[in-house]
Amino acid sequence: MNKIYTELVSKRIRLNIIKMSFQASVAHIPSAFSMCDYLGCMFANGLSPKSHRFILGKPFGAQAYYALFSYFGWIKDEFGLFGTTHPEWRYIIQKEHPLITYIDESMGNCISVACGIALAGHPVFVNVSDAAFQEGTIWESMLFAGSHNLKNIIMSIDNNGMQALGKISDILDLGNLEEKIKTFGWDVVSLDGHNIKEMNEVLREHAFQNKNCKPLAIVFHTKKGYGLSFMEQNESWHYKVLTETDFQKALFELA
Amino acid sequence: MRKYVDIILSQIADGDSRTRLVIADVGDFPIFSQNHKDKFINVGVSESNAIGIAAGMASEGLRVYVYGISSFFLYRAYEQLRFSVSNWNQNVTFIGVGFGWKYYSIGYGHFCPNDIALIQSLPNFKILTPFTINQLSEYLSETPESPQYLRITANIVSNDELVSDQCKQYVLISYGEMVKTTIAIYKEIAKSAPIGIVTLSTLNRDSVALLLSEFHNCIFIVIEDQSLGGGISEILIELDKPIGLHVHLPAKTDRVALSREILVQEYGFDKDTIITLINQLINQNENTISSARS
Repeated sequence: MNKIYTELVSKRIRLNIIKMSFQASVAHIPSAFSMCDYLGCMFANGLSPKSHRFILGKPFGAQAYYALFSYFGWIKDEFGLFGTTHPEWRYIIQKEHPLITYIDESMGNCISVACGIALAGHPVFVNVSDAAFQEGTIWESMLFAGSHNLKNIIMSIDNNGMQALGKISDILDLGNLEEKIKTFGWDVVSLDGHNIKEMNEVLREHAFQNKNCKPLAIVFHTKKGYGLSFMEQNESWHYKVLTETDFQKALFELA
Repeated sequence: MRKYVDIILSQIADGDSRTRLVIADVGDFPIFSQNHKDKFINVGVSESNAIGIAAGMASEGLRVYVYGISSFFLYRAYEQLRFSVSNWNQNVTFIGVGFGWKYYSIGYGHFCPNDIALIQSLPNFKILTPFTINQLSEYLSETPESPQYLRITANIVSNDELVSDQCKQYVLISYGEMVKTTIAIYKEIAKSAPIGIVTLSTLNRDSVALLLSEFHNCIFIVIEDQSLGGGISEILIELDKPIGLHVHLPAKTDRVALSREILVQEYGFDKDTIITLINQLINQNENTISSARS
């Protein structure tokens, strides 16, 4: 039976992210919180590493991937291994992980690789952050994918408007990302990345069958650190790790 | 060699539907592009994207060749070669031209004196430096099991020019692009000097080590179109083999040469200059030995 993704599941995922992060004493928690809901809804509605090659254009905040992979039954619940040197539980997912086709440790190369996979005839799913669109290479590959009508590519964008050191609009404004992507020959869908009901409805109907002849970008409008009052859209938390007090506060808020 | 690459790759693609040739708007492949239109991909002027695309195709089991100017790919797309190809050990063969000093007279952007050094620092990469058409054909026909840097040259050595490797008191050692010049030098001085030769069509450390395992008590004379910090000299140092003379490129220069001929003469890459340097080395060593005896 297919797993569903609900508000309750969303809290469970966040709790697991918090527990993993505290135990391993690692950062990038807001990044994990910003993408976990839409990824959960995509996975619940048919997208999986079995149907698509899976590329992590956003490798940071890997806690979200592990929590979701575990929830959907693709890996065992071994969260205690997170952040160790175990090849399948690294802080940044590495090539040894069996569910992952490629990861972008330095940003902006993920769509090029996806183009190659799509040209070889396999469907491919890329999850990427909005900040990655400040890299030049990504636009080369977006142009290529659009120009070659690589409809096998589905890209989700975590559009939280933040990057490591502040707001995207303050550092290097991307302007209207949806319009830019459209002009590169892609189909674009925009969704609230934390509205689980709406995402489930739209994504269920979509079923990841792109009916047009273009690659598909789904822009999820999200908030970094969504779900925790002290972390939400707070740039200081990008590289911060949880203290015991923060951890207890987070557990209380997510209970 | 490019026209042979065109012919050979087209023949490979006839028998292997997995074959793909990627270019970034440089390189004319009339046979391949006509016979295998769907397997020929010109990504436009975007070298980084070309390497990423090649890595993606290779990850799906395709046999991918990327052709281009070494300086543009190695300097601009080094991150993609390092991470997407080398780290993931994808079967991508990059066929490079214009490496070393070949295109230097065009401008500094075309000067690529450390291409081998850059590739040597990437795990999994093999470096192939063919100087005959047979070697080129053999390398292209082998199904690659790892990333490869295939350096092709216009200085093709014909079968009747080839000489066998041999160990003498002094041994000329060279690869790819510089082999033709090295053979010419060898033929000119071997009759009057105790000199042998080794010509390499690959710079893989293990195969070079195996080849040189029989070479004892000799002094190597290295001739390479590469700056210090890479190439065969690095391998010889690792193997603890003595280098008596090293003809190499400067690591950097901000002056654009007026012509290739001037560059060749200025940096000692012409046959006559190298022969003079070799004779000086031999005379110096003999004088040292004589002084020690007396």
